[in-house]
Amino acid sequence: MLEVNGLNKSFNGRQVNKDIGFKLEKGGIAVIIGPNASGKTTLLKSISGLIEPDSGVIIIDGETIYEKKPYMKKPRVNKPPYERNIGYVPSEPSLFPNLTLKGNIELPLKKRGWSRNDIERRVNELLEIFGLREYRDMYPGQLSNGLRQKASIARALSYNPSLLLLDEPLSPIDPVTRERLRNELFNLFNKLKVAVLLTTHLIEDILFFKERIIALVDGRIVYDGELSEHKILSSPYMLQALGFLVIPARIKKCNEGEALVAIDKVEKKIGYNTYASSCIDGRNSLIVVNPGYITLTPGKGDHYTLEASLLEEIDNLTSVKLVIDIWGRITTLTIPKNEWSKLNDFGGGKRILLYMSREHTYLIDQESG
Amino acid sequence: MRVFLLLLILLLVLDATIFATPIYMAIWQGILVPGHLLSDFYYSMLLSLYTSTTSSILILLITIPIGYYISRRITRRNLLLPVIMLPSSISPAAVGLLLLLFFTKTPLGLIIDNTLKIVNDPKGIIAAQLFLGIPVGVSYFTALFSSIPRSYEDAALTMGFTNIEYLYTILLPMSTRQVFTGFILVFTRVLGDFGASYIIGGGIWGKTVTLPIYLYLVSQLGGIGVLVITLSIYIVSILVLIAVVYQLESMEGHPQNA
Repeated sequence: MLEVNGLNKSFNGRQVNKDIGFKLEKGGIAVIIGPNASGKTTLLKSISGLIEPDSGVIIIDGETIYEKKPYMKKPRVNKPPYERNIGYVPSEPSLFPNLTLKGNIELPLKKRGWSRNDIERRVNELLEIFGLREYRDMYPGQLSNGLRQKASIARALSYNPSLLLLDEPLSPIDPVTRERLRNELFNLFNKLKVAVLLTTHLIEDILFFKERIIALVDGRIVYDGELSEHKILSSPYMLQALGFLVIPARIKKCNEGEALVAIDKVEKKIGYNTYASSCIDGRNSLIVVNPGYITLTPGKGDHYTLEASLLEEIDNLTSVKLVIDIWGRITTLTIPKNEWSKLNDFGGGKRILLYMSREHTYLIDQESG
Repeated sequence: MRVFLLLLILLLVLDATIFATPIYMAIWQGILVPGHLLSDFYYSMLLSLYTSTTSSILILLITIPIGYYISRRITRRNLLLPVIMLPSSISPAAVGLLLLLFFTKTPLGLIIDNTLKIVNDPKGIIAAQLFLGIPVGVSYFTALFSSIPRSYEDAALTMGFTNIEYLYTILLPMSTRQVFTGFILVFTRVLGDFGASYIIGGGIWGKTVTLPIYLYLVSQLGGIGVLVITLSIYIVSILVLIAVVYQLESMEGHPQNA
């Protein structure tokens, strides 16, 4: 179905996709997981034709849609996105705010010159499948994130593409709805027999879509295949390779989203994501944190704080890269320069207070299995 | 902060005093306008409306695609934008002189002028207005299209639309209010032009005297009564126009913006 070979792409001398190659069968669902700026979105955009790779081959349903050998000056084949017949849902809003749901979904069909009756039938069918019928005449601004995401996916599927690309489809959605939507989408994709490639940085997604995980680190595929829960548990290195901060700890007491943990005999209260964690009193566990959600100022969402020591401050032009030590684990944090200078005025010193997102902190039990 | 409030009040009082002057002078002096000057005023108003509307529409037709192109394809704009902004940065009179030189002293300009009749003609005024308004349009639409998330375009392209189809069938309908604001911005700019229109149009009574030129000529003739009345009408109508635009801007658009 989808075949990608030797795909390379760099921006301003930095290689974001390095020799990417994988296959996806008809009706298969694959999840691309990787830390921030690992090249996930670039890969999806290269496949959909929104950006031009530097070299490589992309084949869909036996038809080459992009081909350029590294020595060629120009690609041999490079179909524009509107000729690739791919469904693509970007991570940012994409439903046109001036059109109703119906107006949005029928747009690509009108463009394709479908007859009025066919459009009507297809739109109703999709609204029915996605459970959006009652919102048919509403505008995107009147709907929740979850409904909007479903509508975007319905629109991307309206013209029956054989491949659906979803960029972080579940990230903007609140954790409760997320779990339900994930199940719903999974069943839909299986029913519609469409091949799906989706990106994520959520551990819940990895655990759920474990049958086919493509791990991207620094633009390179470091893992491709089934990723059982056991494999994740037994190997903190895998999670570390995916860019997560992994800290072994012993759980003292669990209390719905809050846990008292002991790290190197020091007790500390942390928050965690209850939807993808297993918190059992007295067990050895891994605290897994997505460093993309560690901030120096309280942002939106639920937080807990912890102190860390600042090892090094690397000055880039517009941002500052901080090397910090969280309980013996070294991680880096990139923040805009103006924000850093503002903070520096206050505390300074070697100790800094970090705001950790509860939603992006997981506890994984290590003693079971 | 209270000092700043005082500054603001001072500005408003100053505005009110200056702008209201012709209005109360008109009331005080009584309405005594010679008939021929009044009919000239109507002609000038119509001419101003006609030339400004025409040139504004042309400017939008030209600058919308250019603005879209710059916002999408050109990342290093610090060399391009000064060149584009030049006509609106130099004095309008200089723009008029440049056009006059081109149309009367160069072979190509002479051919164009002979076939289309630009100099000393309302068409010349439209040409001058185009030059002055295009920079405003380009910078406005470049900024507008740069501010609209790329994700809309990405979705549209994969849905089967080309860039051109996306611009005209999705992006513009999606931003009608902002496009209208752009139109008003360009319109008020070209409507207010005096220098360039006067030089290329020649200020011929009953032919190329637009509203600002009319005000100038009347003041030269010493018709203070006519001047205060026409100034009043001019100011009030522009005020109404701007108020309507701001009202439209602050109104809630699509529910997405709610």
